[in-house]
Amino acid sequence: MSLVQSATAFVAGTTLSPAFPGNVAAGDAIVVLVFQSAAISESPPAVSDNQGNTYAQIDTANINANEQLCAFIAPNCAAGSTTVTVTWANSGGSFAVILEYSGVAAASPVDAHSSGAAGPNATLDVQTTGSTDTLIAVCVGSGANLSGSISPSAGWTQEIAFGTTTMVCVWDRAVYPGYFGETIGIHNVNSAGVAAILIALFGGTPGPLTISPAPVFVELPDDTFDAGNQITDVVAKELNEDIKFAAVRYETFWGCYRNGETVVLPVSPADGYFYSRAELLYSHSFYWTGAATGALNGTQTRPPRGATSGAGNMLQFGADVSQLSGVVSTYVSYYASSETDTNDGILLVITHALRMR
Amino acid sequence: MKQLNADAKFAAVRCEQFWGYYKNGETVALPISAADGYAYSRPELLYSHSWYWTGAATGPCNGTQTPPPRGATSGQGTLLQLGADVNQLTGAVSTNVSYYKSSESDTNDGILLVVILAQRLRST
Repeated sequence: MSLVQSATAFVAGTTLSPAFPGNVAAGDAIVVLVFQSAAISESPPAVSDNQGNTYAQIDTANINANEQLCAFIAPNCAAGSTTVTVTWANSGGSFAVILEYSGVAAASPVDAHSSGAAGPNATLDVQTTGSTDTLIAVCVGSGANLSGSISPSAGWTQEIAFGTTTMVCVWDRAVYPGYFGETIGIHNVNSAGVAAILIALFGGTPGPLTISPAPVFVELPDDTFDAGNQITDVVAKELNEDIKFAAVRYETFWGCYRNGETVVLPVSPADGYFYSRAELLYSHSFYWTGAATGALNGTQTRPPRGATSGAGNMLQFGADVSQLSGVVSTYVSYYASSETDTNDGILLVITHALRMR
Repeated sequence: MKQLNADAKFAAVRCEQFWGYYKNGETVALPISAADGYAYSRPELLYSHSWYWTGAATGPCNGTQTPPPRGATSGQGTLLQLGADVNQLTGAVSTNVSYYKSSESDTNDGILLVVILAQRLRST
């Protein structure tokens, strides 16, 4: 999951219309954060856009009776130029932040959320359950010489710091399942304090792994990580590549073949890797000892079973898939008054693929 | 980080495959990893087999990776029944091929292609 683009808008009236600078991609999610200085006894603002996406309210946090922070999300959005419209009943100083995220679950995207108001920091916690969640933290407050803060800061990226006398800050980070307690605040905020919301969004279906075109297992000597050695970005990337390589090193494929055909070179569904012949090992089972009725070439549709090509009873049979070339050979002999040797037979071939270093 | 590095290496080599041709009475050889020289123990191995030939072998196979010659049948008549096994505990190969003409003739004909699925056990 990642932030694609964002926009901000401020208005003293009752309607805000922030627009993304670029087109929104189909399937992405739009997160809308609205701060309004108006009587919060009113209903939360209405959020819509020109693409017909549907927004659901995630949470609210009230600083006082007149200042409210609201968060909305529209998952699985339509593609195109998108302008969001935020409308509320009372006029007052208000602003909105809109964020487009890719890789968000298309349905029920909110894993967990919490909200609060305090001064100058709000400590919020969530328990996430998704393996590809992203946390979004937003905080708003008023004062002078403002700057946002989040603690612990490790892993967070500040995406938005908008406003001067009233500031809204947005951070995000990827997380694994677990408990997260974050203290979110704004330095130099006035005595009214801050409002903050913490949101965990589920990631969407994982995309293919990205592995370099010629994946290699990088040898990282054990002493690379001895105390005192600096863990550089290069070493970290090599370790990441090693882990990915390990995840996809062994794969299996299958198909039906007859005599004279060659087992196809498989392509990994995980990352599109094209296997070479030297990386393959074959095992096989007789699907049928009679003749095939046509070409098979690795079909995964159960092929029809043909008649025997020789007269009499079966005398002997055998099969092989050349481990060097992938060529399939079948031998089936029959005996009536004399021996008849044929190339009858259909094999189910399992391809064991093991990537070379 | 050292443990993470070790885990990544272990994951990369945990599953490996080997193969060879065998006939009745032979024992599948314990393989050695080409990646890091690891010598596999018998409990780490699982075998699957395919019929390379139901007739007799013309000599020892013992895991050769050169396709062996296909011999004649050792019994008279046509195929009656056949079966094979690679003992998952010992790696011992057995083949049974029966023929029938005027009576049943049981033999140990057969050559198997044995694929060894090796999976390393946790060492700790």
